[in-house]
Amino acid sequence: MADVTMRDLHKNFGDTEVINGIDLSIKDGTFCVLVGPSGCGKSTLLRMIAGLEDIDAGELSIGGQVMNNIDPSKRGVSMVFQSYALYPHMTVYQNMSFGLKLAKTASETIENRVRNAAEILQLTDLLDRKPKELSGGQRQRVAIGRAIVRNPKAFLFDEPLSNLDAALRVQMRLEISRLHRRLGTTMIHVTHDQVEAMTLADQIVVLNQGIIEQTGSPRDLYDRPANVFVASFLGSPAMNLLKARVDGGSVVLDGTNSRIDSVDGTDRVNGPVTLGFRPEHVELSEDGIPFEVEFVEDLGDACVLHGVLAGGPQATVRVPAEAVPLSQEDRILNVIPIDGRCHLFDRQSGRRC
Amino acid sequence: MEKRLKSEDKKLSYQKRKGYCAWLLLLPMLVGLLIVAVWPLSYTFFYAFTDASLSTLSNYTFIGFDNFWVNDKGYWYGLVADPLWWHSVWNTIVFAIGSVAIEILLGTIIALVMHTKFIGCSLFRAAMLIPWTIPTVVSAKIWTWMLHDQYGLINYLLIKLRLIANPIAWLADHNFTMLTVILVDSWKTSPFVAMLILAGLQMLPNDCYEAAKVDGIHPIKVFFGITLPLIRPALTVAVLFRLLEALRVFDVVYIMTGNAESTMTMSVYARQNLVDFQDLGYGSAASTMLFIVIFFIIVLCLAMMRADVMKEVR
Amino acid sequence: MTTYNNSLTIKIGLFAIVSMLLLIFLFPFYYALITSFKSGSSIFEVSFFPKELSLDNYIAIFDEQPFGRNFLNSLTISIAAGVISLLFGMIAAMPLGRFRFNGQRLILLTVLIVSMFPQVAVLSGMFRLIRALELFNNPMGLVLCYLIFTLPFTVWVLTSFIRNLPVEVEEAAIMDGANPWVLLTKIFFPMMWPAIITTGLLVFVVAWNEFLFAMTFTLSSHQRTIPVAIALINGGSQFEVPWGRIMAASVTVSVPMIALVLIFQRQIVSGLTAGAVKG
Repeated sequence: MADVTMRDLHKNFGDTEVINGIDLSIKDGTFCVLVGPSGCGKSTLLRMIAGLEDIDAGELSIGGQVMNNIDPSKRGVSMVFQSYALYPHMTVYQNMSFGLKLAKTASETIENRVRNAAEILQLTDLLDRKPKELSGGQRQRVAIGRAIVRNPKAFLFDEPLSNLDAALRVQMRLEISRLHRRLGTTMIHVTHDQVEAMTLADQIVVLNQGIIEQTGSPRDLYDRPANVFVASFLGSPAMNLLKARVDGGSVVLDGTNSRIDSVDGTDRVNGPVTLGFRPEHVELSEDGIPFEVEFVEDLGDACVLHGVLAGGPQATVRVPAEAVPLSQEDRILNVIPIDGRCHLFDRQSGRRC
Repeated sequence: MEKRLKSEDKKLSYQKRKGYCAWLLLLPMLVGLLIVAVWPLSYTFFYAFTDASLSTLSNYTFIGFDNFWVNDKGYWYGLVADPLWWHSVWNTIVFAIGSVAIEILLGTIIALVMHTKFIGCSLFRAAMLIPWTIPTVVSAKIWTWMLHDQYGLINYLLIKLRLIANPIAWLADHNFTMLTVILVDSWKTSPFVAMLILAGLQMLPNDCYEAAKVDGIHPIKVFFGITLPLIRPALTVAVLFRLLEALRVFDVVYIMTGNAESTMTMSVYARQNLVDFQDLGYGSAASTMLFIVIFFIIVLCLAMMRADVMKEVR
Repeated sequence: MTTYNNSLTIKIGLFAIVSMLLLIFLFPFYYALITSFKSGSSIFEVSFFPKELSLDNYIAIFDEQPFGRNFLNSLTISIAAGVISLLFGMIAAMPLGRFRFNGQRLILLTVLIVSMFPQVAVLSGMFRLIRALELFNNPMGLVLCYLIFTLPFTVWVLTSFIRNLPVEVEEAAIMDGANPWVLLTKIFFPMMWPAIITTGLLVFVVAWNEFLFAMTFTLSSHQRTIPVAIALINGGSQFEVPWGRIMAASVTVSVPMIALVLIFQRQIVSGLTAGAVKG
């Protein structure tokens, strides 16, 4: 039992409210990713769970026990930091066993757990080294190892991959994923990288300005973003969000006469909306909307085209590379969003219609 | 906050307990400062209003402001009425301004040289540190010897170079004593000032200089246009540091010229009354005045620095 | 390219400045050294090279007065003042540098102001304190006095150093269950060795050089520290100042300090600058 539950959490730094009423429950064994732009409060929330920041109001419980005023080390959680935060003067073994020693764990138990964790993370040969003799990836593994040996009810990861280079980041992402499957422990992971969020999470929590914009499975959030913020935050290149209006069951882009039929939700609204569709959810079609290509980014397998849609708004589309011959700049294509892949948002509130 | 959920737990949060713990950890230092700083300072203030003597510490009467000023049969007595005290205040100001000005100038030059890369530059830095590490007593004695009016090296050289005809009594002729003391103090302290300025220099962004180099700007213009404005905070710190030290100067003046009037500073004046004349009350009054003057200057400087910082923020 | 870029000119200019500075700042020591090897009346003749290597002056300072004892006094006092301030300073620097609590700025300001106290201003109060504790004419009394400047200095430098240590390491230790004491002894202390050495050195230098307290609070020649002993070397009359002995004593005191500077140049520079940057 290690559900993590938050009820109406608040946190201020002076006059600025950083966490503004968070209600969230994370089920035992879930890999939960907190994601959002910088300054959204995701790290602060994680640190509140860890106990490194006080909770100004609200209630936090881990495994059914209220943790608001419990010492960080007694909450049964382990944290992995962005900068690894290894103790520079201790060997890998000492780094990993430090917490257990402070908790007065029997020495055989310490030995066993450290060896075990080292095995999982392929650190057995490095146990006698000091942090400065390790590479970035190895240091990160030691930091994870230090978290594992404590047998926590939940792991907290604070942007642990952002100090690594791109290739290593992908590798470590897989390792963390593998670790989660192996241990089956609740993990709460903070990142600003939406790819990391999509690939790792069972449950994504999108935070913005101290509140939760949406939470759910990556697929949910990708397919049915609850509002304009989530829609634009997840997915790369970002979703096209165009001003439009619903007129008699079809959507008309502002400033054009182009109509798009068969969009979900047109039966529920009438008048101004924001139309969203992802660049990858577009087909080339003879009777589509004219799209004037200004700029082509060739990704190899696909091309990302930036241009003007129907002489009006800027838009981005992503099409298979073979569909567009190269040097398509200044050409006009006809494109149409795929049926059922369009999203309508309320113009005022930004909420999904 | 009342409306929101409140935890039922009565225990203090971790951060709060850390706050209490902080005071516990600070306790030894605070007690230490109380004993060696606050307590003696309070006693100095206290003695300033008594007629205590150094030989009979516990036998004193409270005499109010008499140590500062008192009218006896139409004549004013006390610190404020003592021309020697005002003379020592004047001397202290002259010393402070003179030595700080020279030290900042010389310190900047040394710092710029230290900042340059050349063969043996770390040895040069170490050599420059030596005058600062040597006891003031030693450097003052060495210079006193070199400035000896009859057998001193300086007079010997100046006469050989035909710059002067007769030996100068650097430490007795009241035309020269203050200058001499200022120069010796600058000799000892400029390297220290250079260190402070070097710290500022090392934090300067390199790209400014590369840009200037690419643009072909003359080095002297680079110095006044880029370096000087950028190291101004470091210079301000150095000036403040040194000014405060110069205002309480004692060692170098006392060792080189003793209690001579021409160089007597506030500290020398206070010590002479306290120790040589055994007049604890009067000496304490002078010490108190010295403290007030320095405290006033600190506050003034901090206020000026704050205004300076504010200007830069805007 | 313009003429000022001529690297030879720059090199010659730099060489000239460096030599000049070295001459100004080091020659006095050289002159003290050659004077200290002179004996008899040859001391009154100016010379730039040693003509004799007489050790008379060196023997005399240890013979005619307790110079060895004075040296030992200075050493004990400086080390004791250094160790005590480091101990208190370390413990105080952690909360000042790392914790957030009410009154933090006030304490830092107090520490800064105390470090700027003029020595004379506390002289009479300190005399009272020394008398009350019956430490007059006792080196231990000087250790106590010296804390007035060594303690604030240590706290200030160590606080600014501890601020630059990574916060996450501390937080990792907190997650591992370290209480403030463990944090101090097991995490900060080992990470701060360089700063401790630097600060210790600077405190040592300052205490070693102190003159006013040492002169006022000691009476007998056995209890004096080196600076006082040197200041009070005198001959039979005012006109017979034994310059040779004074120079010999000066050289004797300077040698260990110069050795210290040469060995720990880097640490001293970093310590001085660390204190300044925060100012």
